[in-house]
Formats: sequence, C-alpha cells, structure tokens
Amino acid sequence: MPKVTVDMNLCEYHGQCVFVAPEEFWFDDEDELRYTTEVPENARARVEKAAKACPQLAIKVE
Amino acid sequence: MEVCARFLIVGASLAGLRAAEALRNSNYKGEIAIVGAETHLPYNRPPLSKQILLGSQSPEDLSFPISDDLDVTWHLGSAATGLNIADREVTLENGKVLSYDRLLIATGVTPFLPPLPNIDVPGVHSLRTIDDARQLCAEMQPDRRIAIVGAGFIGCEVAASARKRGLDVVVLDQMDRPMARVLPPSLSEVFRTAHEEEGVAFRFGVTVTALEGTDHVTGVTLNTGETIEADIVLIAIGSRPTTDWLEGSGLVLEKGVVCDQSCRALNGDNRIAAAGDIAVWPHLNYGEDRFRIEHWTNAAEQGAAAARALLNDNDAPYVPLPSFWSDQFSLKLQSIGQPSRAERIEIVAGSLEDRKLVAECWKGDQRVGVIALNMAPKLARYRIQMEQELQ
Repeated sequence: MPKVTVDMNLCEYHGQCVFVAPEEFWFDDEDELRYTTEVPENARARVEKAAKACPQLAIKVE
Repeated sequence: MEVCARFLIVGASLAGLRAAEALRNSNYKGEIAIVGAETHLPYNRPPLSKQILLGSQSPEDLSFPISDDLDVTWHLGSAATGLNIADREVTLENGKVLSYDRLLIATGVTPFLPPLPNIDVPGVHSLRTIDDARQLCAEMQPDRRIAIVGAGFIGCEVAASARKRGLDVVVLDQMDRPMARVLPPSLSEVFRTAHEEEGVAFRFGVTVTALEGTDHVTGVTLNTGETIEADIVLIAIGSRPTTDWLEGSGLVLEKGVVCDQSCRALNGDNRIAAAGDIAVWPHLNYGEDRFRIEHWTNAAEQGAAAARALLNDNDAPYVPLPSFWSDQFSLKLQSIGQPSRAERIEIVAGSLEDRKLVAECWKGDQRVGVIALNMAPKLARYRIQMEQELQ
C-alpha cells in the first residue's frame, strides 16, 4: 500500500492537498492538517496528484 | 492533423514539467524534449525569496521530483532564440535546431530592470533564478544595508528575509502602501505595521532616478533629490514576459503570447500553445478580457491544460480559480479568485487587530475573491465553492 508522509516543518497550510484529495488530507477542528499515512492502491493517483499540488514539496508518496 | 510524434516544450520550469507529466498521463508515447535557458533541471521558485535567503533550505532541496518514466530529452543551458512556424523549428542559442509537431511555450518572465544610470553596477540585483538567489544571499551579511526597490510580494518577502538575517532594510515604492496593486488598503496596513515592528523602513511615493557607485553600488538617488545609502540594491518592480525569441515569428505578442480560450497561441496553426507566466488568454468566466497570471498554481495547472489541449486538439476552455500566497515574518497570506478587482471587503472571521482573518472581496453583488491571513485552513470551503461557480 502506498505510504504518505508530510514534512510538517515544510508545510505552510496552503491546503492544496485537502482540495485535491479530501479523503486522504483534511483539516481538523483545530485547523491542524491530518492525513492518512497508508492509502489503498486505488488512491495512489490521487495522493500523487496532491503531492504535485503542494507548493512546499512537503508530501512524499512511496 | 497528423498524430504528434515530437512534442517540444520551451521552458524548463514548473509549467513545462507539469506539461510533460500531463502528456505521459494521457498515454502519449512519442518524444518529449524540453529546452531550458538555465543549466538546472526544473526547481521550485517560491523559496528563493525566503528559505534560500535564510539558509533554511539548500538549492538541492528545491528540485522537483522527476519520474524516470517521464522520458524527456533535456536541452539545458541554452535559451531558445527563434521560432520558424512554417518549418516547425525552434533555434537555440547554441545553434541547435529542434523540430516539432506540437510546441508549448513556457519561457516565463524576466525581471524588469529600468534603464537608470548605473543599473549594471555590481551589488544591484534582481531575483528570479536560483543563481540570482545565490548571488543575493552571498552579499546579505548582517549589518549591511539593503535598499529594495518595489514593495510588491517579492520586495516585501526579501525585506522580511533580509531583516531576519540582521540587515538594515529600506523598501522604496512609488505607491503609497505595500502590495497596493493586489491587496485592499486595510490589509496593506497590517503588512506595513508588521514590517515596521520588525525594523523594516518604508519610503512610499518615491521613484528611483539613479543608482550610485562605480566599483560597487553605494546607494540609490530618489526623485526627491535625496540619496539613500545602500550596500546592496534589489530591483523588484515587476517583470516582462520572455517573448524576445518570438519576435517576428508571426505569433501575436501583446504583453505575452496571446492565446485562445484553451491556451493555443493565435496564428500558431493549432500546433502551438503557451502556459504559465507568459500566456495571455481569455478566462471565459471572467469576461472577454485576456490576462496573464504570474503565480505558482497557475503555472502548474496551465502547463498541464495547454499540453492536453494541443495533444488532443480540443478547445475546452481553461478556467482556473486563480490563487496565490505570500509569507512575510509571521504573516501568511493566501488568496483565491481576483481580490484586486474588489470594491470592498467584508471580514467574516477573525480581525485585523489579531492579524488573523478571512476577508471576502466583493465587487457589487459578486464575490470576486477571498483572502485569508494566518487562517489558511478556512479557505478550503471557499475554494470548493468558488471552483464550482467556475464550472
């Protein structure tokens, strides 16, 4: 299964990932970024798109 | 039209890279070649005014990941110098001639340097490339004085970085407030106050008439006759589309490469498109006027959209939701839509005093944009709404 990591030292809360892949990335009630660390294979394309949309290059998908 | 076998992309930055990726994602199996004036593979430019100047990221950190499957032939370190539409050829500075079936133009913009006395004296900088950032960074030693000409986003971001590095910073602008072309006055005021609290000095309502110094810059002279002493000068008064190599090609050039609704260049035989900072196109949801967007997200999205339009010969309109951001000291600004068109703003969360807010931007009864200051997560809901309004 693809593994997702976000480097929170780089994250600037642009929320591009939340917009592209709302099932895998979201803001919680405290406005903190939350994300799914392991996603099903059929979500790979979507999380890779989210990684490309990140202006900080903070998201890695392996 | 015949099937495309040779897709040429001129411009090796974000728009060009995302274009190539979109072609492969569309199952295009032909050749892709990318021409870049710089010697570097595509890299991320926004950190140049911030993390690179602060030393918190190194140039290597900015490289975009590039998949092996992309299978691109790179022609780096040599700018394109000419386009021959009849023969479908692009000429490079090094003499190479590259032919194409489809051509994407993504050569971006070049910083504008006004023809002032001594503009080329050492110590006078502009900021667009990683090499520009390295040179500026090397000069930015604590206690030196930097004069920044232009209080736009780049000028203000560099001012914050320079101040954090311990330099003496003055920012000059002919307008009466920072980022005046984009931000409503009340938000400009928040930024001005934050900069001044950190020790940045502003001089508004002035223009520069000359740079001083012979071996190295020593200051800038203003229209008031006064000279402001400086060890480093950054010129950040905007940029111009890099269209010099297209002069006389037959393409329509008006402050960029003029395109149709799906980013195909006028007079380009449906074989040529443009994307990113250089493309002037009509955004059909925003009326008849053609315009350009010089922001990161647009470069990425338009690169992909223009490549698909060329490959599939389709005329689906490109109608993105514009967005941009800026980070200065502890202020994180995010914007969607077209706040510069607003007649009034309405603060719907937070406050100016807290420097934390969401502001809706209105023109008549139309919401034209939304700005968040230190409240980026709150923009997600608006983004979804405004994207839907565009469909």
